[in-house]
Amino acid sequence: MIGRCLLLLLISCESFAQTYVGPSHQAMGETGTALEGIYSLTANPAGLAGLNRIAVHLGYQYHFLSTDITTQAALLGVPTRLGTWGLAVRRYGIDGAYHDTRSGFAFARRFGPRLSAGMSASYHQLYIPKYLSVYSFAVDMGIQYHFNQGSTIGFQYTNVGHADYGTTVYGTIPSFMKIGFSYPLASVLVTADLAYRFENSLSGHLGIAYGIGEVFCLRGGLSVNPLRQHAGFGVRWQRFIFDTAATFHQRLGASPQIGVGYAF
Amino acid sequence: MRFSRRIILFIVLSSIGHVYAQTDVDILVERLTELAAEDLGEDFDLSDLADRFYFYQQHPIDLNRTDGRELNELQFVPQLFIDNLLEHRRRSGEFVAIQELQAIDGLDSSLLRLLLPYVTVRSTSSLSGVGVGELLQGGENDLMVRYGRTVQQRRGYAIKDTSRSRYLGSPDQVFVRYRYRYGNDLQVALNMKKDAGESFFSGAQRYGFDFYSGSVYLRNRGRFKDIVIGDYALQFGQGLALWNGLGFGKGAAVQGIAKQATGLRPYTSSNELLFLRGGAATVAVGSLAVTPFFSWRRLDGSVSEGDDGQTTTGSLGQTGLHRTPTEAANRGAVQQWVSGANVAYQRARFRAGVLTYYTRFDTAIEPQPLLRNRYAFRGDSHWNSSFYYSHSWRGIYFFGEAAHNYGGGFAVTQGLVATLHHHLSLALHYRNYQRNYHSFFSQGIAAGSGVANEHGFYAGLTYHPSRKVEWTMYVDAFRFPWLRYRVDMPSQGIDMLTQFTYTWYKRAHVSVRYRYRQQQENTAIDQQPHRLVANVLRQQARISGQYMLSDRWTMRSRLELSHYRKEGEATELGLMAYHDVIYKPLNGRLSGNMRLAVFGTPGYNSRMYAYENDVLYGYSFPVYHNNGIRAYVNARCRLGRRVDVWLRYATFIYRGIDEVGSGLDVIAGNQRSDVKMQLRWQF
Repeated sequence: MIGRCLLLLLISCESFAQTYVGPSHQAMGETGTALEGIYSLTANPAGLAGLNRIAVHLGYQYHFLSTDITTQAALLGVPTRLGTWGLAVRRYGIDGAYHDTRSGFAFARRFGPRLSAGMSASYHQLYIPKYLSVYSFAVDMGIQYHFNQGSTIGFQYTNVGHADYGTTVYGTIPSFMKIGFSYPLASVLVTADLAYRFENSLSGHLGIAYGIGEVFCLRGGLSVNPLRQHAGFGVRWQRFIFDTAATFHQRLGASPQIGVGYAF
Repeated sequence: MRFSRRIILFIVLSSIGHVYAQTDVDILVERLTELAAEDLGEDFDLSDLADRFYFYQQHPIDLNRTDGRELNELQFVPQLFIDNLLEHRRRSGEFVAIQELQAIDGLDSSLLRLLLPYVTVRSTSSLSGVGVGELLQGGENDLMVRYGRTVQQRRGYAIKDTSRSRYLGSPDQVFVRYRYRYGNDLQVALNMKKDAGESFFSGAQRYGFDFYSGSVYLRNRGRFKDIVIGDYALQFGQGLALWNGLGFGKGAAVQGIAKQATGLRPYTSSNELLFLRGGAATVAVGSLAVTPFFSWRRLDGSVSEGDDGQTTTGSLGQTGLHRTPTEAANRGAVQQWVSGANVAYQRARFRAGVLTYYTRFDTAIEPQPLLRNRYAFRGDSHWNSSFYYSHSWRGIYFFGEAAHNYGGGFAVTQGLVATLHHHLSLALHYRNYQRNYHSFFSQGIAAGSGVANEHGFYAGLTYHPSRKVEWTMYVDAFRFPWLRYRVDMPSQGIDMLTQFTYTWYKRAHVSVRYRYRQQQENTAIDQQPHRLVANVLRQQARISGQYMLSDRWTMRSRLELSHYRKEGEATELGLMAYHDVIYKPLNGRLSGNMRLAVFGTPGYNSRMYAYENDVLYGYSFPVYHNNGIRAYVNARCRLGRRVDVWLRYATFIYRGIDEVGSGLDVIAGNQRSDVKMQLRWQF
């Protein structure tokens, strides 16, 4: 019975859950289309081009309502002369009951000082023990344009081919377009995204990050439709990066995430 | 960057000249109070606030003498800036010229424009060494008499049957206001008011006016920072435990989320609630300021006597109106005693305080035995205590308060206003008011009707990239864990506002605003086995602008849309447009303003509130609903240097209805017109 309830919860909040974003993006209102770094593997692949060191990240997120529904993620970004390569593995679900796994690689490259583009291909597998096992392939792509003053505009198209599992009851592969803008103001970074999901829903995201010195960073954000508030902080100590984030929904409660990374 | 900003400020400062000495108090009052307007009621008296602005225009705050309290009273100056200013003075010595303001962090050009008419670096006189004779001769007297009346007769005046509810008095409104001031440090205030429908020298008002209010206020007398005998208002912390007078709540300026308590002040407003009557003083003892206070008042209430001889009342009167036999009978039926003390500590930028007070009634309060009243206050006495603090540190202003009533619950609030960048400010505010917390004098930030039964989180941003552009937004998400009036379930809501303002220097400004509010209310659908709640969505879109044609003529316009949607009810879309013409010569005998508004709303739910100019110290936010036209004309004439006369005519003309108002206020026909006359004599 508990398992069935959890399954119901899991499916009912799929619109939040299956779109995993890294903790710093989550804390900034689930923005990220116009941001760069290792977390671009969970948002706009073009942002990966901004990575200038090999970086790894491990993330762990509890989802709304229950501590049994979790996401685990591992990301790797490797900048090369040709461009930046990325590997991402993400698993969402309940141990022994439901697994939605996405694993893929990404490639991003700069075209001049202003423009960067990226794409990723991923293998999605939905596995419900003794009941269902389906898989699919999806492709994401994105571009970013960097302005003189440091602001960036970005566009991403996730799941370009509208790939699916052949069933929408037990899981979906979200397909959406996002346009985003980021604007730095000294130690503050403001970012805003507009997302259009192909189920005809439009959502807005706003995020802000405030760096206090070189080490500490406070982040906050807001998403509308549905309304959620986000907050988190990051610590950058030598080459280690530690980020936390939490999303607050009025009815569903909180969804916290922690992430640890290392830049070589 | 910083250098160029200072240059711009300097240019603003040196070129403002006398033009900004005309800073329109009306605009400030509107800005500070407009979002609270819906809760305040049409006739709420905002004159106390306007009075401060006019007073400090005539007696500018000396930047070399102020301890920050006067700047705080202005309410639009952030505490963070006040702290910066005081620290600048401590470090750099006394101000030599007002231009030094530009060296202080936290001052942008819009704040500077607002602030300039109210500050000076000239030293002012103090009471020290002033004799009684000089007090009488050197002070300023200000006597004002206002008369108002609705032209059409309301139903309540026509009823002669003594067994029915009716208005006992005449429809005349009379207000008399007297002030005596000597500099900034002595003030005597007297207000007398008769509302429409109240008797005058007869019935329950056999001593003339229905409402008398007076106070004597002294400040900066040795250890005594403030002394008030008579009616006074106390504001401490964030208003969770004790906040008399006007509280602003949320506003389009996100910095306003940090309430700026003014401590002890004389109460000079004509609102008949929200004040204390007796005596209070603030005594400085080292870094401490101790404020003991005592109050005794008579309040309104419908008192009944139980079998055991104990008198009870269901609730206390909230209107201050005593027009009908019932209202007259309830007048002053409940006695209230309040006594307590506040101890405040200040060291540099850190402030903290502890407050405790005891409230007792001669009549027990017994709300109706409804489920929503389960946690409401019952009894005839209670204790409130609170701890509060504020601190500014590196461009971040922290503030908070925790309050408790013995035998009840807690109310906690915590917030910050941070200048993340000189173009960007952030405000965050968390509140948790338990359902069984109660205070008779609280006015904290809340989406509901008071400081109880509410959890909420507010986040606001202001982006000010140049002196021309300001963009502000806030989101407030809240929950009501227990039932409320017209909401028979725990419920929740959202309030979002965003506003973009563009200012053409000295000439004009235009602002675009969108507000989205969602709450829950009982459905109107009958025949349900149990009560259901439905989402109620209110949206407001507004474009407003002001254009200065010349030094004399200003035009102001607004277009507003109001959308209301509730499950099970018809969706409403209301529209209002108005145009104001303001004539205000720099030196002239005559000035005035007028408005023509057109509005159409399908019902009361899509109603709109719009600030209206009025005679001096008279402000209103009337409700615009139904279909019709609103027009008013205000004129002011200076009869010599000391005497001014104001006249006002205002009318609503509705379309498609044959009576206006409800209950005893009904007017036959489709028009409601009001006239006002006001005379002020300064001597």
